[in-house]
Amino acid sequence: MVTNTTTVAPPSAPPGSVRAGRRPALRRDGRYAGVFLAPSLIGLALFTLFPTLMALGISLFDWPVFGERAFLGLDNYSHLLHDPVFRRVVLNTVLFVVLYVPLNLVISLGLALWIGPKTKGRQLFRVLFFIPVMTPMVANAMVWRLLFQPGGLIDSGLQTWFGIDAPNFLGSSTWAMPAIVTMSIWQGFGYNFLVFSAAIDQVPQSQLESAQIDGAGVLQRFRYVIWPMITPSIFFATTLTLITSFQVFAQPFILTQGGPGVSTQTIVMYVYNQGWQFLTMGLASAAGWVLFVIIMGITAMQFVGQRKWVNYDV
Amino acid sequence: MKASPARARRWATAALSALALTAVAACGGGNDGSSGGSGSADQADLTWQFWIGGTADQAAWQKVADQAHTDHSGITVKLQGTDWNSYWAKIGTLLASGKAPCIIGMQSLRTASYASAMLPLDDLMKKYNLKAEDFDKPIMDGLKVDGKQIAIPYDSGPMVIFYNKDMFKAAGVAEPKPGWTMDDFKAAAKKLTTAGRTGLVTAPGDLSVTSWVRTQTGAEPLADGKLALTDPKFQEGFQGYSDFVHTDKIAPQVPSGNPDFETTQFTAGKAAMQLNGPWSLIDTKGKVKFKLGIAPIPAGPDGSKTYTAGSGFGISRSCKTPDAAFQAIMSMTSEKPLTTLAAAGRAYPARTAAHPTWFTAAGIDGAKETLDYASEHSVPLVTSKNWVQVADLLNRFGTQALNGEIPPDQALKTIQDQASAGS
Amino acid sequence: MTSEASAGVTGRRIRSGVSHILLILVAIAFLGPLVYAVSTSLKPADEVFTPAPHLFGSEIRWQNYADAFTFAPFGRYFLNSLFVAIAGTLVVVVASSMSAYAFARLRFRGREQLFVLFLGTLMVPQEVLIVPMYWLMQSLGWVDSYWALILPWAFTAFGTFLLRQFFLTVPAELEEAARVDGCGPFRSFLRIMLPLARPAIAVLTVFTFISFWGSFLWPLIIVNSVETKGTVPLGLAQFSGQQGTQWNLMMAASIMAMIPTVLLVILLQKHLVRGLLVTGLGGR
Repeated sequence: MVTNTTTVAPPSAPPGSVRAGRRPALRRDGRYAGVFLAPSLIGLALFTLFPTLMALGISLFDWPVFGERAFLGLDNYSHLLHDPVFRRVVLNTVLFVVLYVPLNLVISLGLALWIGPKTKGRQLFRVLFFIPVMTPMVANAMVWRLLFQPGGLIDSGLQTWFGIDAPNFLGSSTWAMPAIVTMSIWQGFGYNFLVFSAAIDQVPQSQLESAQIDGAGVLQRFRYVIWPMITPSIFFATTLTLITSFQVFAQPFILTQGGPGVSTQTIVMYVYNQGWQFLTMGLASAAGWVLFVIIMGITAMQFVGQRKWVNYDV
Repeated sequence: MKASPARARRWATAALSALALTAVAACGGGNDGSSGGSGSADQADLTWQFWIGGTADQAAWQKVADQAHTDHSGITVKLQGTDWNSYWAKIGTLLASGKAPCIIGMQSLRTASYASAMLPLDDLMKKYNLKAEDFDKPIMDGLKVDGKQIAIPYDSGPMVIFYNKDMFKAAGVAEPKPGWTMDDFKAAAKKLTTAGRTGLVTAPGDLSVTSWVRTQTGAEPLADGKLALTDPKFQEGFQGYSDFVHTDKIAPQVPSGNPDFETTQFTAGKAAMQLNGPWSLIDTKGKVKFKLGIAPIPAGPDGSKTYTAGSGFGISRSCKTPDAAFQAIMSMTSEKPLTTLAAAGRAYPARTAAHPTWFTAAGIDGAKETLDYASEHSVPLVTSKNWVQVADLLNRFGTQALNGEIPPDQALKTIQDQASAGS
Repeated sequence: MTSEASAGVTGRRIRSGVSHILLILVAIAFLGPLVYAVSTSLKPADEVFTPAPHLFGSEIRWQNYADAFTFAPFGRYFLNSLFVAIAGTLVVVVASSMSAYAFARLRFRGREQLFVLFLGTLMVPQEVLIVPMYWLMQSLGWVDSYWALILPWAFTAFGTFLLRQFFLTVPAELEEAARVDGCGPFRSFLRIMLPLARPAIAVLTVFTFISFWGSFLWPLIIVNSVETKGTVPLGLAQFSGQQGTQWNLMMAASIMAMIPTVLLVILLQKHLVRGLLVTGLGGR
């Protein structure tokens, strides 16, 4: 049986074969689909579509929070594309994504595998590693600033034990982004950790045991038994982590405010500043839409590429 | 067969159009530029948006609001609070909605940015006979834009030096007094920078930077209403300022965008001096284990010069009852509530008459002397319409200048360019 | 057992023991920052920042927790947050599971395109949408209301995406068999898919609850009467004032703010853990 995500229905396979193609009869699910989709669609149409379209509209204007508005057409967008500051901001965001996403996935998957079904106190560990996700951002702000700042915990620790000064993490253009990535991973990896844990738990123990009896080592068991069964979750985690990491805002906002210089300013920070601090909402909306296009592009690539490695075969 | 998704889509489009029309009607209100009807001058239920933190704070400020009701029985003022850091995001949305509260808290540094959404108060001042002379002149001027009074002040304060008396004593350095010079200051700071502590701690906030520059060279950030950060005198002062960190090494390196770093270093006793305003004095006193002192900013070649900042209450343009609102504001900034606030240590009052109460509450030796001296030698920090952006740039690029990542004049040039470009 | 086999078993036990200890160490290192938050929450105000960092102040002030709770009307804030988070999570779980089912199991024209459109709603940053959303709330008369706290952001594609991925991995034969027996999509959904999907739904519940619980910007903008409708994050923000921040109280309040989510995670543990033991297909 293959449940793939294309809409084209391949010819039906002979009945009785387990790995049949599409189901024999072409059912009319349209009506049912309407009912199942209704709550989400109505909610989306009401609450998401309208603000989204309005935001698109605003981006075509010079729209100060109060004062005269003027229609600009695509001027906001062309301003952004030619603005070296915005280009740097996009670059910063990409840098964050490139550093954060792989680390996040590797750490969360690694830990989820490590805390396998046989580990004692597994439930406790799961809660423990998930705790950073539940900490309020204001608390994180204080603690991590204290860790990173000159004379802070890391600095004092290094001085006491090794006699060297720590770099000024949050005040140095080279170190600020890695510091933010570190804090982000600490705070955010618990999500994927939980998703992977749930997915790994789905892998039947019997299959793993029989593979072990057949002499498969840890790596082989992972590669041939576990991995195929968790690819849908990995796809989910990768896609979603990409989407959310492009929208990173809270961490640089509370740790560095986008500085030093412009080295940690991300696109959503730029949007926030333009719209809420400098009160130019037209430009803010345009920046948000540029971000949308970027994320859409990357996600589309993910979806196209998923055929190659995501396995919905169960 | 009608596919349900298509039908759903049709309904969605219809709903959307309907909503779009309604919303355009709702938000199209914006600002009609006039006070929109006078309403009754003595009968109104007013809302007041202000920065509040916690129940005690709410109660204290509600008492201020209640003064309006005491003075005019037909007027009630309801206090709506937002936390300090989020206040501007909130007020921006409220003003954008066209239905902002009548009375709005306003800070002198942001007055220029929000002036176009606020009602000029000069006519109302004349009408109801509010005497500007009863208030500290620097802050009264600080809340003006283009010569028009935008808000009536409740608190005010010149930037002064907070210092750690215990550290001074331990290092054998004489305590600063009004009239001390930049040389005195640097010598003291150098002596205080030992054993992992520093004489000063500073972060590139707008008030701090401009005060330090002004006292060293007299240069101001605006000239003729335009940003003039690349003016040679300003650059000279800024160079001197950033030297504190990377050349003189009397202040520590700073992390970017961290508004508490300065305060926490000082309260922890890791730095002996900090530039701050009287609004923080009593709170700081409660947080430190050492004896706290204040002194004016050290004098440059032209004397001690500093800036005054403060906050007040203004009226939004969309207010339908500006007369009632103004009378409420008059009550809220009258002597009684300001004295009560002063006694509670909440604000260094803008009314000269309420000062003595504050000094008693503060209980810091030489506070009166210092604050009077500093007030005399201060002017309000006049800001531009895009000041919020300037402050943000100053924060980020100032950090680089302080830490020695980029030369100070390059930082100023970058800030000047980006602020003017509106990016 | 042969000596080789028993050696193998011992070897495995030692490895798992070492691995266990390592895990504990990693967990401790991981929670280090939190330890610091807890220690701050127990310090007197004038000892939060000292020249050299200390774990404990001169006294352990449990009083801070009481002071933090009464600093602002946190009792009310907790109730509000709970109400909004529970209601919102319910809406999300119901709407998402239904639409996920449609995308995973039902076939209709334009299914994939619609799904990508759904996903698109996740890609516009909330900050851009807040002001138009505020205008929408104004026209609906929902400013400063519970409706506005619950509904506007309850229809994102996140839940649909998560559950769809999960649904796709459930063997279709299970429902096939039911369909042959005349079971319609609704019963198939309710009786077969949902019970099997418990781990995924548990995960979605936790994530959605956390998202509602920690939401700050939207409640800040839409709530005007903070004393009655404020949520916990709005309360936490109040510890930072014009004069500075009360760190010890804020840490205490933050730790208390974590309790409901921790409880939820513990409560749902058994669902988050292996859910699908029997797929009903035998031989698996």
